[in-house]
Amino acid sequence: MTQTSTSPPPLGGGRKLGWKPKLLIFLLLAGSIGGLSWVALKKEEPAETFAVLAVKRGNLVDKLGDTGTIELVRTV
Amino acid sequence: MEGITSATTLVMTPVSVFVMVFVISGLVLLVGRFIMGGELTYGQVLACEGYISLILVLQAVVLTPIRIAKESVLIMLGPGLFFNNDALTGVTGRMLAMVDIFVLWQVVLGAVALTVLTRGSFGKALGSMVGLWVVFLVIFGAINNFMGAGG
Repeated sequence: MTQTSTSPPPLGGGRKLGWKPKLLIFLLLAGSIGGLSWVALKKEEPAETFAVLAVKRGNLVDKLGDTGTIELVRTV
Repeated sequence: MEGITSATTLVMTPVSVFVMVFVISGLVLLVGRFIMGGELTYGQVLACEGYISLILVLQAVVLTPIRIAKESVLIMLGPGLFFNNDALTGVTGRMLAMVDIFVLWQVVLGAVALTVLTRGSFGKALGSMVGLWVVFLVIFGAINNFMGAGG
C-alpha cells in the first residue's frame, strides 16, 4: 500500500529568479524612474495667459466750455 | 487659517499612509480569499503590505527634491507628466494624474505576494491587483474631481 503526499507545495513554489531577470527588472525600474524624473524636472509650466483687448480712443469729447461764478443755491 | 491647514496636512498625511496599509491589506485579503481562493490570513497580508509600503520611502527620496525644485506637491511620476494641467481635469484626467510608477511597482509586488501566499497563478493575481487599483483610481478620481469642482 502506497501513501501519496497531499501537502501543498511550499510558499513560493521553490522557484527562484536568476540574476539576468533581476538585472533586467532593476534596469527597467531605474530607467523608468530616472526618465520620468528628468521629464518632471524639464517640464515647462505654461505661462499664465490673460485676455487682452486693444484700447482705442473714441470720438466722444467732453469739453468744459463756459466759465462763470459759483453761486449758492440757498442761503441760510 | 493657512497655518491650521498646513498642520492638518502634516498630521493627516502620515496617519493616512499608516491607515491605508491596514485598509489595503483587508482588500488584498478579500481578493486572495474570494478571487484567488487561497487560505491566507490577515497577518500574512499585513506583513507583505508592510514590506511593500517601504517603496513609499524610495518614492519620497525621489520625489521630494523634484517637488522642492518645481515648488509643487502635485507631481507624480506617471503618464500625467506628458499632459497639460488643463487636460488633467475631470474624473478621467484626475485618474490619469494619480497613476504613478511607484504605485505600479507596489501593485506588481502585491501580485507577487498574492501568488506566493495563495500558491495561485501570477497572471490571475496581477489581474486582480490591477483591477483593485483601477477601482481605487476611479473612487479617488471622483472624490478629487468633486472636491476640486466644489472648492
